[in-house]
Amino acid sequence: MDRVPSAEHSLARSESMLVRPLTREDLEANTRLIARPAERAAAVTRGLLVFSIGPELLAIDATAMHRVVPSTVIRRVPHRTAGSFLGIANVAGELAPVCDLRHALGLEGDGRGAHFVVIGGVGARWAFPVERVHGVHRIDASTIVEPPATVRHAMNGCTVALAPFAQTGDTTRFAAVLDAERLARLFARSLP
Amino acid sequence: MSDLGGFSLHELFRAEAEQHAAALSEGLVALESSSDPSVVEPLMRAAHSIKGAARVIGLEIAVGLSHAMEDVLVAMQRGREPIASGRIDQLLKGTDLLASLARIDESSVPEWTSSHADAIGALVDSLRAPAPAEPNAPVAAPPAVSAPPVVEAAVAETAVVKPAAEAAAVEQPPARVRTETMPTAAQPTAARVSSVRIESEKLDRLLQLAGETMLESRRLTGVRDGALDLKQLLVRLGRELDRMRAAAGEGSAVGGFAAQAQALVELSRNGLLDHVVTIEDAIRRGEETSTELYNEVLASRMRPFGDLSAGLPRSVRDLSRTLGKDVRIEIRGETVPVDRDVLARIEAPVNHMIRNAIDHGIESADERRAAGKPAQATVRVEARHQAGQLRIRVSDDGRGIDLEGLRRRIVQRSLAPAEMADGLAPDELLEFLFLPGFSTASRVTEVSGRGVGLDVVQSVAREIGGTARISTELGRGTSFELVLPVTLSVIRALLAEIAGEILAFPLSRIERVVQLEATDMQTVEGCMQCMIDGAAIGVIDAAQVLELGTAARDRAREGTRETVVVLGSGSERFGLAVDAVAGEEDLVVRALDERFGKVPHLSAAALREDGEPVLIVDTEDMLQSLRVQLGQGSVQAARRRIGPQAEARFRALVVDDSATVREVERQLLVRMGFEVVTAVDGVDGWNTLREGRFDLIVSDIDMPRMNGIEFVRTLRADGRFARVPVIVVSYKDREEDRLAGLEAGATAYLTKGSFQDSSFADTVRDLVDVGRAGGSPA
Repeated sequence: MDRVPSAEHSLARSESMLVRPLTREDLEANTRLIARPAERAAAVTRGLLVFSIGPELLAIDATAMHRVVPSTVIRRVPHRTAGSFLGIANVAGELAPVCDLRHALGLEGDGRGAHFVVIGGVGARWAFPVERVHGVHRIDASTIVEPPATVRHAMNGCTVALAPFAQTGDTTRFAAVLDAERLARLFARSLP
Repeated sequence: MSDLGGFSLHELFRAEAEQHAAALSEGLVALESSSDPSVVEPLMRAAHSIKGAARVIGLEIAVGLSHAMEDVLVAMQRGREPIASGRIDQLLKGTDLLASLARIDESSVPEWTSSHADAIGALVDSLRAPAPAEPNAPVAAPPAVSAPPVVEAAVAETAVVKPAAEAAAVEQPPARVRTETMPTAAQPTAARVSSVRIESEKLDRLLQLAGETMLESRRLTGVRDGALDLKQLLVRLGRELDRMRAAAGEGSAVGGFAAQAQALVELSRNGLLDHVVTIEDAIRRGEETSTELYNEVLASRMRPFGDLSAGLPRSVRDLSRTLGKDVRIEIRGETVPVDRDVLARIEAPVNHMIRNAIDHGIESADERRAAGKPAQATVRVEARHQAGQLRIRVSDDGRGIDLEGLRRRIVQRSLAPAEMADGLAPDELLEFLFLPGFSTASRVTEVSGRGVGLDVVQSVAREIGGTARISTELGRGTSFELVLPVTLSVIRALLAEIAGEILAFPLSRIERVVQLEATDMQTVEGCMQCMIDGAAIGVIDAAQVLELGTAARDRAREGTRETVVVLGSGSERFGLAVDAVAGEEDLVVRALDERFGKVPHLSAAALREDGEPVLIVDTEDMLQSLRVQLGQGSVQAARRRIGPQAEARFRALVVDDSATVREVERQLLVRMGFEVVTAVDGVDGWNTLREGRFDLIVSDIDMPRMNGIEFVRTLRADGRFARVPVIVVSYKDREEDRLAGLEAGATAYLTKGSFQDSSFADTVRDLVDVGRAGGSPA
C-alpha cells in the first residue's frame, strides 16, 4: 500500500511539474516508466480466488472464474458415472457439468462441498464443489513463487504457483494456484 | 456510422429487403388471381421501402430495379396498365433478385452485382417497356393455361377459413398467438413489418434466465419464513417481559423499564409484520411477472403455420406454369401455432411433398377431363393440432399410386425378392417410396429433382420425433401426412426415481405405468417377467440398464410393490422397473452438453420447476436396448449362449433403418449360416455391437441419429472392433460416396442392387471364412 502516493502528494507534485520545466532526470524516469512492458505493470498484484477442500488451500486466477454459487443438486448421468465426473447441476439457470476436483487432482476424500466454483466460457463451463471459499485476494505478484517439483507432480500438473495466503507467527500458509485451463482439460478427460 | 447497436446498415437492409420481398412475392400471386387493383397498394409500398433501404446503403442496382418495379405497380394501381400474368412474371423475377440480394452478406455484394448486372439491366428494360402482349407460354401450352388464373385466390380464401370453427375443432391455440393471424390478401404486408430477428441461442438463454428468475422469486419465501420466525421470537420476548414486570411489581423501576421494553417489542413486531406483508406481496408479484415472462419467452418460439405456407401459392404457381398444369392450392390452418424449430425443419419436406404432388400426382388437364375430373387440379395443404400433435397433410386429387405397378418396380429394382414383394400389404409397399432414390415417375424430371427424394421427408419427420405416412386411392389422389410434436421445446414427462436419481420419460412414449405386487413378478431363465393384460412382459431393472448401480435395491428382501414403466406397443412391450414415480411435469427441453458425446438412452436434459436438473430418456433407444437384452434372454444368458462351450456360429450385425432391407439382408445371411442380430440405426448398432462378439457387420449409410459413416468411424476407433469386416450397403452409387465409406473404415462398399446378383454373397464369403467351423477368436 505504501507504494501508492497519496492524493495530496500527487497534486503537489503535478503542480510543481507544471510550474517548472522538466529536468533531464524526470524525462528519463518518465521514459523508463512508459517503456516498461505493460504486463509487468498489470502483474504487480494478482487477483486470486482462494478456496479450500479438506486441508488443501487452493486458488485460481480470479479472471478464470465465471462465478461462485451455493452448491445445488448434482444429477448423475447414466453411463457417465466413472472418474471425476459427478454429474450435471443447475448453475444460475445453466446446466453445467460438475467434476470432483479432489479426484481430478488425485487427493483423498469425497468431492462434495457447500459451493460450486464455475470456470470456463459459454458451452465450456465446468463446476466443481469446494468446502470453503475465502474470497478473492489481491496478492503481490513478486511474492508468488514456483511450486516445488513434488507439488507440481502431486496435483496432476495443475499447480503452477504457490501464493502466500495467511501468516501465523513465523509460518506462511501458501495456496496452490491451479491453472484453470489445465483443470478444464483434466475434467474433460474424465468424461468417458 | 455503419454500426447501429451491433447491426451494420447492410444487415438492416437485408432484414428489410427480405421482409418486403416475401410480402411482394405473396402479394403478387394474390394480385394475379384476384386482378383487384386495390391489392396493389401494399405492394407499391413494399417496393418503395426496398428502394429506400437500398438507397441508404448506396446499392444503386437495387434502387434501379425496385424503382422500375414500383413504377409498374403504380401504373397497375391507377388502371393505366392491366394486371397480366406476363407482367406479374417480370415483377416476381425482380422480387426474386431482390430476395437473393437480401440473402448474401456485405462482402459478397460486389461480386453479386457484377454477375447479375446484365440480368437486372434487361429486366429493368422490360419493366420500362410496354407489358408483353401475351402471358409467357408455358412449355406444353395445354388449353387450360390460356385461362390465366392458374392459382385461385388461395390466400384470400384460407385467411377467411372460419378461425372460430377451426379453433373449436382442434386444441385451443394460446390466445396471444391467435391475435397474430396472417394478413389477408388485401393487406399482405401489414402484419409482418413489426418483427425483429433474434438468434435462437439468445432466445434459449432468455428462457434460462426467465426460469431462473422464477426460481429466485420463490427463494424469497425463505426470507419471509425467517421474518416470521423472528416475529415468533419477539412474541416470546414479550412474554418474558410480562413475567419480568409481574416479578418486579407495579411501580418499581425495573417494572417501568420492562414496560418500555415491551412497547418497543410491540413496535418491532408490528414493523416486522408490515415487512412480512411487503415481502409476500413482492413474492407474489415476482412470481406472477416471472411466470408470465417465462411463458412469453416460451411462446415466442411459436410461429403461425402461415409463416411457412405464405410462400406456397407462389411456388405452386411457378411450378404449375412450368409443367403446364392447372393447379390451385388450398391452405388451411394458417393460424395454427408451430414451434419455430419444427417450422424451420419441415419447410423443405412440405415443399417437396407439394412438388411431388404436382409433378407426379396430378395428371395433365386432358387426362383429367378424360377421367371425368375438373380440369383444374387441387393441392390441399392442411395444418392442425390433434391429440397434442401437429398434423400436416398435403393431398392432391390426382391419379393416385398404382400399387401393383409399385410392387413390380420394387422387384425390378432388386429391392426385395419377388416372393417377399408379393406378400407386402399396401402400407408396406408405400413405405418403399420413402427409400432414397426411389421414385414412382418413370422419368427423372427437373422439377422433382434427382437428389432429394421422399426419403428426406421421412428422415426429417423421424429426426424431430414424428412420422410420415402416405395413403392413396387409385384415380382419386394421394395424401402425405406428417404427424409431429407441436413443439420441440416442451414435453410432458413422467418423472421416475431410479437409483436415487430422477429421470424423465416423455409421456407420449410411455404405454403405461403399473404397480405390481412382488408376487406378480416371476423369474424365468434369469429374466424378470410380469403379466399385463394376460401377456407376459419382460422386465428389466432401470438402474442396471442405465448403469446407475443397483446398491439401493434388494427386491427379495423388500417384498414390496414394484413400479414398472411399460414401453413399446402391441406384442413388443417391455417393462422397466423403477424405484418410484415422482409425478408428471412439463419440461422445457435442452440439448445435452455436447462434451458428453452420444450418451446411450438419453435424449436431452431439462430443469424441473424447483430448479433441479433432470435427464430425459430416449425411449426409442431404451426400447432397442430392452429388445436386445430381453429378446435374447438376459444379458448374462445371451453371453452364456455364445460362450466357448456353446455351438460357435458366425454372428453378423445388420444395421439399416429400413425394415425391408434389414429383412432381406437377414435372410441372405441366415441362409449362409450366420446368426443375425439387427439394429435400426447407428446408435442402436453401436450399442448392440458392444453387447457381444460379431464376425461381420453390414451397415447402411443413410440412417437417422447416427449415419453409417459415423457408425463405421466410431467402431473403428474402438480397438475391439478394429478388425471386424464391415460391408457398407447403400443406395448411393457415386464414386465419392464409395470413397467416403471406405475412408471411414468400411472393408467393402456395395450398392443395394447387389442382393439380386451374387455380389453380396460373394463379398461375405471373401471376408468371412464361412466354410470353417467355429467362430473367430474375438
